[in-house]
Amino acid sequence: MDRLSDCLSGRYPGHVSRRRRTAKTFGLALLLGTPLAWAQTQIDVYIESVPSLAIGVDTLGDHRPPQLGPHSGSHGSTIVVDAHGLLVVEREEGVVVRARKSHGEPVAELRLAPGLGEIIRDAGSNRVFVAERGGDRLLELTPGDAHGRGLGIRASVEIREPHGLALTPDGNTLLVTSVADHELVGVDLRDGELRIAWRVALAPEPRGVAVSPDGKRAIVGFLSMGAVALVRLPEHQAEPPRVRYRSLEPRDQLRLQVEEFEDFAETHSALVEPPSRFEVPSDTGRRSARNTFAVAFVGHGLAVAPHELATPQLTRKPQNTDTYGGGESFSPITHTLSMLGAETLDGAAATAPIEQATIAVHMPRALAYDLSRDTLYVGGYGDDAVEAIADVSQRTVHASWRIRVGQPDACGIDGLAVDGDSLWIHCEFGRELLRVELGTQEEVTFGSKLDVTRGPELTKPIRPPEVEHGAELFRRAGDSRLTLDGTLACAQCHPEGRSDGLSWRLEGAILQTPMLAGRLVGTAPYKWDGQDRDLATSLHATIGRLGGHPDRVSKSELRALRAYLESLPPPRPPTPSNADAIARGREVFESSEAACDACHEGSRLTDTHQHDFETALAQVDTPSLLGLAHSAPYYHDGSAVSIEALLANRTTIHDMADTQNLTPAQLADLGAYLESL
Amino acid sequence: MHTRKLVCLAVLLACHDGSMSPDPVTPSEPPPMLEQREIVALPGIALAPGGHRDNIVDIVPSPDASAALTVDRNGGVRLWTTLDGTREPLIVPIDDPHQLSLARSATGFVIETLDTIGGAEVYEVREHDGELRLDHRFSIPPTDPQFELHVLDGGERLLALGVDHRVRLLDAHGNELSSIAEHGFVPWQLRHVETEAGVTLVAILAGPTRVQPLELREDRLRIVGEALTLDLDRGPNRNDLALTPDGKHIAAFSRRKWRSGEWKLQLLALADGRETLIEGKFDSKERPRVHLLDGARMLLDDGTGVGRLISLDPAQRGAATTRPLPGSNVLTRLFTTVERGVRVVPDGEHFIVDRLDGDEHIRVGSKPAPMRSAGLSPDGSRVIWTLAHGWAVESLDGHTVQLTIHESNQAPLLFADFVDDDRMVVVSEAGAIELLDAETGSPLVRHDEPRTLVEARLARGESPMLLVRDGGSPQDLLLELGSEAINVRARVIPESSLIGPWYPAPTPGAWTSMMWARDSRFSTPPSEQLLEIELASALGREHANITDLATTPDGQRLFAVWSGSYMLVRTLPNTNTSVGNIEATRSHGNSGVARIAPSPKGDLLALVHFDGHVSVHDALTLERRWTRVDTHATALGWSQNGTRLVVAGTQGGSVLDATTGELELERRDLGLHVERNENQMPVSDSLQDDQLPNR
Repeated sequence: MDRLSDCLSGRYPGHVSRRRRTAKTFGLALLLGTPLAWAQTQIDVYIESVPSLAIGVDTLGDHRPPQLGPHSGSHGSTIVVDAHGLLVVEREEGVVVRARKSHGEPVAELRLAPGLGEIIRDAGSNRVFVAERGGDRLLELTPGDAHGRGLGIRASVEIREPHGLALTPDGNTLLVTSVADHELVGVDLRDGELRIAWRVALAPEPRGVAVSPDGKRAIVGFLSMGAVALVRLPEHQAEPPRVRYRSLEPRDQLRLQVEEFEDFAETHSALVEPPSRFEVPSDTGRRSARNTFAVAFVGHGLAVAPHELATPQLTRKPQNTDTYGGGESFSPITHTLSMLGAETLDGAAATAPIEQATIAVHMPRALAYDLSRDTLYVGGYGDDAVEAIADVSQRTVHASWRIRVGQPDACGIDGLAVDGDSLWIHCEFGRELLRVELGTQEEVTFGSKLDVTRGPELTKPIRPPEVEHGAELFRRAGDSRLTLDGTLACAQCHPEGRSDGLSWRLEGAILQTPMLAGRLVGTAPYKWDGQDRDLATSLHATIGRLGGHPDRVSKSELRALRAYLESLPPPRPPTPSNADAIARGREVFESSEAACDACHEGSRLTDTHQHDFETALAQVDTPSLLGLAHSAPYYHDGSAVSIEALLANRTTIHDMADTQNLTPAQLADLGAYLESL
Repeated sequence: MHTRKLVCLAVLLACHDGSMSPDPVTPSEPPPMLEQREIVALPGIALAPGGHRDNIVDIVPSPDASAALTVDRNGGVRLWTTLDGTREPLIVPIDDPHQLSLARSATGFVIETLDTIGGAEVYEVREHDGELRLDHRFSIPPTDPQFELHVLDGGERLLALGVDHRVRLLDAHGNELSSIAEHGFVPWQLRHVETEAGVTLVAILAGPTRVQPLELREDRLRIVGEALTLDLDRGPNRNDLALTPDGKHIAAFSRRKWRSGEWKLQLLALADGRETLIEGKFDSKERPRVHLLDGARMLLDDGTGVGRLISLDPAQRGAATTRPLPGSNVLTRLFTTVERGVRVVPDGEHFIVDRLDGDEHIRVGSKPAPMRSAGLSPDGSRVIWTLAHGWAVESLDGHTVQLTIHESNQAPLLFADFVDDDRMVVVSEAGAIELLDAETGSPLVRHDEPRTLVEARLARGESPMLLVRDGGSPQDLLLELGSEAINVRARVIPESSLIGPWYPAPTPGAWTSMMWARDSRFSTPPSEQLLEIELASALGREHANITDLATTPDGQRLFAVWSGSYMLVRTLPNTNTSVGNIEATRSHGNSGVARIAPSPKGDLLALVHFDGHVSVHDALTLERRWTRVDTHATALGWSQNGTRLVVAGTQGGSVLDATTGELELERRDLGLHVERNENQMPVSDSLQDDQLPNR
């Protein structure tokens, strides 16, 4: 009992993993750039109790354990398991590694373009596919044997910035999300070929995709949209896919309440009904779903989508002060698992029942489902925790437990896979595999130790150490130097260094999360009002605004963050659909009539000056326009929902440019040019 | 069905312009908007009746005030096809709507919903083969998010205001008929009224707040005239800024000072901008809801329960008469709607319909059915529900409720169950114990115990017995339920109340709790501490806290235990220990068990968990067969043949197939409940917080 109470109260060292060096030496395989011998270590990981999840209890799932689960390859990951071992994607390095099952030792690797998406395997045909995001290709691999012999590329097809992968149950179609083109692409795999069968438009920033066990539906997650796409897949060749969106954003809202004690008061957040439609409309307290990196199906045809719930506009009363960064007993961002059933009315996404519950992992980006246990594993990118949700497909309150694997070395979980009684975890930062021995369900006892093995490094990093360090700091949760009580992380609002598309209440203004990737080099000063003269100053200020302690962050850490941010490439523009229109649009952009380039000048498309737009900000820094197609909404307050609305002056900002005299054709060309940046 | 398919096909052909079925798009084309819309020739789904299970937080009546949509705190939506309480509400399968509107159409209803990210769905409800069915008409995806969507002309037209500030007129299938997307024209809200003369429409512009008249004529939208400037003391909203029902004026309500009773209503004629100012004062500091009743009157509702009917004739200078406003308080006033002189007010799981020209109102909703216990007939074909002030018997075939309400001077019921095929037993808190005829409900035998009872348990069999527990003394009473009389068989002093009450095993005469009295009915039980020490030792754990225990008819013992995790433990008795030999264990993670109920045959175990669910397990392996969530479950009962299980609690009860967990009968309420009350001026403004929206 003492151990349990200690564990529950946080005193028990369940999260303090102690590495026990039991180095083993293995023989050399066909490796390039990997050590001749490597260390496999046991780490002590303890099962922590986390709150049960009341999700799917009323309307979703079935009363009995599922007999059938999702098919092999129903969604992609960074790990696949086959008869010869594991194939692992090292995204940053652009490497696919063949690793052994025993302890995740690498035996061979295949070098591709840096910046990979997901990997997936069709168990029936043993075909393996990789999204080469940085190379604009979908690749079919020859998986090779247990020694990695034969690991190579069998076929490829061009898809712009592919990321998420999912196979239909018959293995005939591979679904691919295209980040740059905002599309879902259906690739016909029949006859051993890769042939693009159809494309359908999606909202910006699609990521993970999963296919239902019956092969009729797919679900797609997004970074900057508060919904998942529910895609009705074609049953016949001539039939187009149909896309509907199901909101993940709850109707009820957060409100801050002050609880007064004898000698102090504390502010809490509480859920309340939204205001009456007869009150003044307000975004205060509304919660927005963001960062749905991974989606999956579990038993009984249920889909799951872990994501964040952000409350960007809260007000602390009566002080009327900002709540950016949270404080006391509330956080502006929590983590949620959404569970969706099939639509009760064909074609109407609004009738897809949904239930949600808060989960105890930070920045969930990896999923794996174990049918034999009916258990879903959710991996936290920010806190290196894995939460197990038992009986997830059944109408019950789900017992849940958690392990943390990020000590002493940071992990950055970006992939999970279940293989019998083992759960494989892939760490982005260590570039290594962890194997968790799950045992039987009866053995899940809080405070008990799990057998967890940390495998050797799978490949060498290609990023400089400083950039690697910066990337780890950028995603790190639980560090009270960086944010208040460590509840937040930079990557929550800036996933992949991009933007969550939200507008936050901050310092008396409503400010949109800016895109960072590709927009920081040569664009100083920073912040929407240009108050920070350089990036170090800006990082210092942001950490302070988030409730962290910038003075406790070392200069080397700030340098690392800066190096990471400056290393991020700009988002890739969509495939040009009309080069002539883009060229004409550029002429308009640079014309004396529109004179856009008067401020958005040079290769970074900014004059690095500030301008007065009669807004809540005294002056507004000219933002770079790179990656504009991925950074809606627009203006510092997010008041322009689209480029079209911005150019038509249907926003709160009215003085930026005089586009009134442009013809509709000129406006369309200008829009095409802006989306191509 | 054939007819309907043909109709849909005909419409499809008539409207098909190539955009109904989206073609695959090429890269970088914008997401399809109108291309996504289509006529859905689908069968739709039948709308099942069912009331709310939580407080109503919003009511959206149809413009003719003959029907309404209601939203509860869980985001559930119900369609009330009448507001007079004559028809049960229908469950509409829409979750968590951000905005709803409803219109009565030529064939039924049109429902529009905006979700929380601005995506829109439009449905129609039509009668088909005697039932109302919901069909999907079209969607506007959230990639083209909307601020507002309004149903016009009985659903034949829809008016949309996009987050991109475009105003659009759509036809019934989502095709755009007209739009306003002028450069620099930035409407944030719309107001409209429909009169016989047509639609009056204005756009609300910001910075400063202005009202721009729009024209909707022959399916064309256009801006007309100059924007009118108004005085508002806060941001524009639907309370302070509204069109008069005759569509002639825009009315702006404001207060002179914050939380002051001095108010003014600025009426601007849309035709010529002429201003009329009406001013007044009242005592309340609460900002009133403003309901413009017609061109001549408005109603102010400040939540005191007293409404002010105020003339809009400037010559009368805001002269007011008062009227009771049933159901109004400072919170419900914010969710009250008045359409065509009918006030509709949320009131817990009910709502109030108050015709302003009448002297009475009705309160409509489902009558709740909190249950103390429930029992099944031996063959499981009938269930008896123990209600607070009555009992109800329901057949699983006919679904007919037979309800008997206690006399008002009797204490609440505590327990009711079937003794056998022919008799039921009913126990009141005041100690009245009655045997009733199972067919007619007529009393057969009565026994009165002069004590307050807190619990009752029944053991069926050839000599059925009832165990009742006294709340005032630690003495339990065992009663023999004879055909002629109810006799006291024994008085028992229980040794422990820590683990659970005395519990009848299914075998007649066998009772378990802290005792293992298969042969000797009242043997001395082992102490709880001894049991827990022995159990921990047998399990090899440091501790084992028993939360409940039971025995099966063949004598196996079952423990619900907390020992680092929640576990079920099955043992067989031996002579050496009180616990017995451990035969099987099964972990439940962090889901603790409050009660174990073995089936009469002993092959299944039903469990009530602390976290609000019920599960059934194989008694031998302890493996779970199924689970069902019932967060309010407090009582379990088996049919004697073991085929059915009844679960009851404060939110009703249900009968389940014991093998599969499938729902066979559910009783969450006792049907539609309509109260008709005279309107009375309030004597107290005290609020019943539990009946208010959660704000």
